[in-house]
Order: sequence, then structure tokens, then C-alpha cells
Amino acid sequence: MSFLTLQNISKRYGQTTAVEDFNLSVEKGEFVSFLGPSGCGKTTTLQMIAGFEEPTTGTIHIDGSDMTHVPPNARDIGIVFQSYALFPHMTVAENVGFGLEMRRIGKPERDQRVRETLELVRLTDFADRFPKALSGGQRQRVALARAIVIKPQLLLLDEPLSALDAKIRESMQVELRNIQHTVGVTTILVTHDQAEAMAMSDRIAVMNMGRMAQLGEPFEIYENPGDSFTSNFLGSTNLFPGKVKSVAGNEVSVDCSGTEIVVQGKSESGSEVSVAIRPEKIGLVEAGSGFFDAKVRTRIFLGTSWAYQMDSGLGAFNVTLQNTGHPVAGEGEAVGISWQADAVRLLSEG
Amino acid sequence: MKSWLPPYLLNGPALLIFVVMLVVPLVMTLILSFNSFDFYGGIQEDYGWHNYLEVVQDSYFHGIFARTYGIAIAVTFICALIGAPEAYILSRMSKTWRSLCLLAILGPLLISVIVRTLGWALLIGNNGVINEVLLGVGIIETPLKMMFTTGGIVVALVHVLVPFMVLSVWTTLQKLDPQVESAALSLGASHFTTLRRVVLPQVMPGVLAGSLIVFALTASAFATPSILGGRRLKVVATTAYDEYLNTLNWPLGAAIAVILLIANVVVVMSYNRYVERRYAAVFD
Repeated sequence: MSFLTLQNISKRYGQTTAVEDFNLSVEKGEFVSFLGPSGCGKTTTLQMIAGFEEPTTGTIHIDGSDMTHVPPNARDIGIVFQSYALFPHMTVAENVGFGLEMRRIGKPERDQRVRETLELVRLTDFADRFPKALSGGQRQRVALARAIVIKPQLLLLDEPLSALDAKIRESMQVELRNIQHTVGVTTILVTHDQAEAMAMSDRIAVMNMGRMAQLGEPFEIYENPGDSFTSNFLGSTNLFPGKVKSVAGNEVSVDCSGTEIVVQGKSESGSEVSVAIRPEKIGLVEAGSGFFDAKVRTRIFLGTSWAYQMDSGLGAFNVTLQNTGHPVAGEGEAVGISWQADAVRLLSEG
Repeated sequence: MKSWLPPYLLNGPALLIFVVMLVVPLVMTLILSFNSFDFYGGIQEDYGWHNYLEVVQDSYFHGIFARTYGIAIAVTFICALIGAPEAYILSRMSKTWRSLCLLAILGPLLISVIVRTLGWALLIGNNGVINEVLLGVGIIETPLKMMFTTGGIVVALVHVLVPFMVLSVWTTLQKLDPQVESAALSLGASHFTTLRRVVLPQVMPGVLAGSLIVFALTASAFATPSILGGRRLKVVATTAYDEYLNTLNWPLGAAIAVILLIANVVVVMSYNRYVERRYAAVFD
């Protein structure tokens, strides 16, 4: 049995279903993210793992024992809350030491462990300050220290970085990941930020409308999204709806508004499908020499890359090109569109 | 029109009312408190500290001041003890129940002070409802003395002043991050420990602010002690009233009133300073 097992978990509030038939196994030391838009059930699932909500059906096992109905203060779980939820009337050291105090750990050992943990999050000099006197990033690290000092079985991170500004967020991602590696604690992260999920996790569980849409390693689900939701939520995707014209072995030929696109995959002739391709996998060539022609509507320079919006017979779509230092097609120009054969994906829905 | 004029004109009406209704009577009371009183000649146009000296030196007045502040401290303490948990429970209620309970809590404030206090008199009097019931059931032989006691005054004052405490604590509770309680639980604290170590310290500013209001209102309360305490169990406010209207010694009454005012201001100000200094480092 895995370290953390969620079996057929669902949560209903009256008529509304927040989480439906959720299954997940997490190995010891693993870092798993729940990724999805707000209202997808990721926070509810976390609340059930933490013990603040009881699942309507299903069971939760941690390290082999059934935790489904165990109250939160008996679960031995460290949580970093979205608002950090620091105790404003206690100093940083008192905040971090609170969990140890609740575990009746003597003062000498408590002080020692608080000091070590503050060192780990680089806050040694702030031990005697109140949370009010700290910056957002520092408060975040106090919250993390408070959660890991108790050496919990499980660490839950509820949108921990969403209140920070972009620069600090990126450095905190790296720092959080490093600390998680050092401590080795099994971790669940809830986030709506796909970049955050991809940067930090061993595996991502993409969630949509209360269900798990896809589970896998970041690279794997980015490259092989199971449906258009995942495809769009992880990075961006151009979707061309069409109808399967013919199937030859592993090659499916799809008619997208009159343009034929060949995709690797399995389907049946006549079924409604979508062809998906990521903006960064499209190349621009001479007009007439690609799969089809398109016209540049807008072009935006982003430093490392160019972002194009194109108009074509298939509708509007986006292209991202690396900035190689050479001039590229300007607005209003007609260009050919091409890609590597394995860059397109077939999604089995209209 | 000159640019500095409009603010003054806009402030004018309020300023006028403030001066006429508050400043003038206060100054007149202050002046009056330095005059002396003669049983045959009435108020004399002289000035001196004799009224103040009389209050400060007479043990009769010491007793009255001690009773007043004793009642004020007791009422404040009981209000905090009842009001803080009440506010916490209120904040955890569903919307409909909360509105109903809030109405019940604010109820005493919606009733005229005389009606409410006479209601208490009906309840706790020697022939009142409580004594009748206890006598009827046979629990007691002779009526319990509750009317004209300090205890009766305290109970009636708690009844009307507890809403101020509830509202004050309630306001602080609204600012409390609900995740903070979850955080304490997740760290292994029991519900009781969470309340004691995490919630209570954070609502303390609200409890202290509420105490301030309750204390000030109790120390200067007149109607309730006057009806439930009678003419013999006096507090400072009723003593001043009696000096004015029974003894007709207005200057002495004025001196008592001024001392009460100054004492209240000193207590309230120093208490407030203490609270602000205590929590400046912690809360915004």
C-alpha cells in the first residue's frame, strides 16, 4: 500500500458535488500537486486529507492506518495555509514552537528544533519579531517552518505562494522544493498556477469539476494531455475541431474546416475530434510551402520569444517563436504553417 | 468667499450645539463646585476647595466611591466573562439564528431604562416573581433579599451593558482569520487550547475595549442604582443627585460630579494607553 491512499473519495454538500470519485496513491517522500481552476474541488480534497472536512464516501489511509474520521489535531499533518494563518500575538519563534509545545516537547529540545528549522528557512535573525513586522515572503517561510518543525507525516500546501508577487514567487518555488527535498516529507500542493505545479511536483493531478482529469509527471501530461481541458490548462494549446476523414494504421487524417491534418493516434472514420498543437511547436515557413497558409494579425515581442496571433482558414490561433536574434515575419505578412509530425495530438472530442 | 471659511461654516452648527449643550453646563458645574452653601442663605458667591475637601475627608463619601467602583469592576468583569463567549458563539452561528440571537442580546438596549429596571424590581423584589416561586415551591422559608442590594444592581447593570461587550468582541472576531484556528488544530492543539491560546489573545483588544465602555457606563450609571439601590444604597451619581435635589446643596453635588468625571477620565485614559501600548507591536 502506498503511503497516502485516497480511495473513492467524494464530497457532497446537499445537491452540489464538490469532489466525485477521487482516487490517488502517493508514495513516501513524493511531491504531488492538485492543479485546477477555482471550484474544481482541489481545496475540498485537501481539507479532507487534513481532516477539516469529512468525505461523504470513500476512505483516506496514511501510512497504512485509516484516517478518514480522525480529527485534524490527531493526524500529524503540517499545513501551510493560503493566508499563512500565523498567530499574530506570538513571535516567530513562538509560532514555530507552538506545534512542539502541543506535543509536550521539553523547552531545551523545542528551542533547539525551532532554531534548526528557522535556520533551514533562513529566518534565524527574525526569531523574536512579530508576524506583523515581516514581509510576505518571510511570513510564508515562517508558516512553512511552523508546519515542518513538527516533522509531520504529511505536508499540505494550500496555494502557499499565491499571495506573493511574481519575483519572490519564483525564488520561493525553488526554495520550497529544496526544503522539501532536504526534509523528505511527503507533500501535497494545491494550486491553480500550472507553472508552479510543473516546477515543483513529481506528479500532477489535474482536476476539473470535482474529478481528476489526469494524473502524471509534469512532462508527461504536458506532452500527452488526455483531453482539451488538461491541454489548455497546462500551458496553452491551439485546438482545431474537425471530422476524421480516413484512418490508415496509426495515422488519422482529420478534415479541419477544409484543411487536412494528419495526426498520430487512434480514431474512427467520421467521428468528431480536435487536433491540438501547442503554440511553441509551430514553425513559420515560406507561404505556400507549409501545411496551410496563414496571415499574421498581431505580433508581440516578449524578450525571449515572439508571440503571434494568426488568422487562417482554420480560424485564429497562436504561435510562439524563440527569439533567435533574427527578424521574423511582420504584421500583415502571409506565411506558411508547419510542424513536426509528432507535435500534434488527437483529442477525442469535438 | 475665503477658502478657509467654508470648513468653519460647515462645522458651525455642530460646534454651537456642542458648546451650548456640553461645554457651558460643564464649566458652570465646575464653577458651582467651588461655591459654598448656606442652609439659610443658599448658594454663596465665594470660591474655595472646601467642597472637595469635604468629599475627600469624609468616610461617608469614601464608602460611596468604593461601592461605585466596586460595582463598576464587578459589572465589567462579569460582562467580559459572559460577553466574550457569547460573541464567539454568535460568530459561529448560521445567519438566521445569528440575527435572532443578536436581537435578543440587543433587546435590553431597545427598552426604556426605567421600564427595564422596574421589570427587574418586579422580578427580584421581596414580593417579586422569584421569591414567590421559591417560597411557593418551598425551597426557602423567608424571602431572599435581592432588592436594594449591590448584587441586584450588578445583575441589572450586566443585563443592559453586556451588549456593548458582545458588539466590541464581535468586531474583533470578524477580523480574525478563520484559518488561524485550523492552523492551531493542525498543529495538534485541542479545541479548548485553540480557544485559550489562539482565539482569546487575539480578541483581547476587543474585550479590553468593551471593558472600557462597560466600566465608564457603570461608574456613571444613575437610573438602575437609583431604582434598585433605593435612597440608602448610594452610588456616586445618585449621591450627586440627592445633594442637588434633596439637600439642595448644589455646590457639593457639583463637586461630587466633577470628582466622578475626573476619576472616570483618568481611569479610562490610562487604561486605554495601557491597552494601546500593550498591543501596538502585535496588531495593526
